[in-house]
Amino acid sequence: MTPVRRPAPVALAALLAGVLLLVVPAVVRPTGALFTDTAATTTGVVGAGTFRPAPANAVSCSTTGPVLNPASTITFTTPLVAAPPRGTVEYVVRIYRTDVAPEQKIGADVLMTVGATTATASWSGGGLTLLQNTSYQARVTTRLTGAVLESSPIRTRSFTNTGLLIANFVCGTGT
Amino acid sequence: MSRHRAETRTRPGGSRHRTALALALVAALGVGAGGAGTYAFWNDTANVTTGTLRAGTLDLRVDDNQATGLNTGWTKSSIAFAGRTPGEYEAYPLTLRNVGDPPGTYTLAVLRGSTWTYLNDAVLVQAYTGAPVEDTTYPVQDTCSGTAVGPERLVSTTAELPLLTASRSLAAGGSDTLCLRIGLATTAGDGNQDKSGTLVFRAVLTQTS
Repeated sequence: MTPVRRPAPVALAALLAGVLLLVVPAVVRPTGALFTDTAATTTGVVGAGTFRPAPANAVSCSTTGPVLNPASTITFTTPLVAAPPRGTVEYVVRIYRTDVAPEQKIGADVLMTVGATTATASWSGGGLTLLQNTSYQARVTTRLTGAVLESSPIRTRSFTNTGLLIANFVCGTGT
Repeated sequence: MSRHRAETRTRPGGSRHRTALALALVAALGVGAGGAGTYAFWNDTANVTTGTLRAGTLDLRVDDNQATGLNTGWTKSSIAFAGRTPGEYEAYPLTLRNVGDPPGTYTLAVLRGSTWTYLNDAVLVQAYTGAPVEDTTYPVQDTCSGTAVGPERLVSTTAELPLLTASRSLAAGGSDTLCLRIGLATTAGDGNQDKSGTLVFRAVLTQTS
């Protein structure tokens, strides 16, 4: 059996020193300073749109009567606009008295009832409490449901009431 | 043994002789040591001056030599849009160049600019490789020809938002072109209508260790 020759202590020390020489620089190097440079690029303005659905279509008008107030009615109808990519469209109609200056808004905003192809809104004579021989205008616009911004231009339909106790709505011209 | 004793006896004056020699040697050394400082020694000094030892630079530039110099920025006004609505995106190229001496790696982050009126749920940013692919039909949804190099970030805070999953290598003299896709989230609230803002893309180049 051949005896195992053990390395001399001097050889072991030299080997250890060599290993340290290899390892220590690798350990120490990352702790040194590294040059850096920062380049900040500021963009131009990235702006959101003010999305509005398509303007309302022309508004048609129909009446029933003349009958005793408040049974007489006037109905405004507008075809639906193209559906937007996102969200739904609501149709708003406002009634203005137009033979006074400034023109006077009658009542609150009214959301038209949306059907398959049209949106409609109706009033009875009593509901609008209109005066005799006065001129009015229905103004229809569109907006995204819950949104504030409305489409432009608005669509109008003029009408008058010629009756007093017996309402007599007469549809006029529109835009 | 008997021989040694015989020599000692035959040379009785040797001990005195060695003693005299030792005294002479001590005297000579003493004189020499005592008188050393009194002699002049000629000498010569040679100074070797080097050439200039100039540190290297690290300079990350953007596009066509923009943001030149250390920690400088610039405004890329071509990254801009108007009238975008939820679900619309636009894409823009951004080239980063390492014109410094060592190779390096860079990180890229986005943060709000000085102008910002959006709510926190609106603006999205994501970095890709490749080039922008334009979409001209509504809703505008530009894409990038490459792959995403990081997550899509919603700019919901004023904090810096990293755009890269891992830092990217940039060899000395090399460049890297990214495609930045910016848009409005499909869930952006209505309160973002007509809002606007600027973004800052912050790239940091660090020398390779």
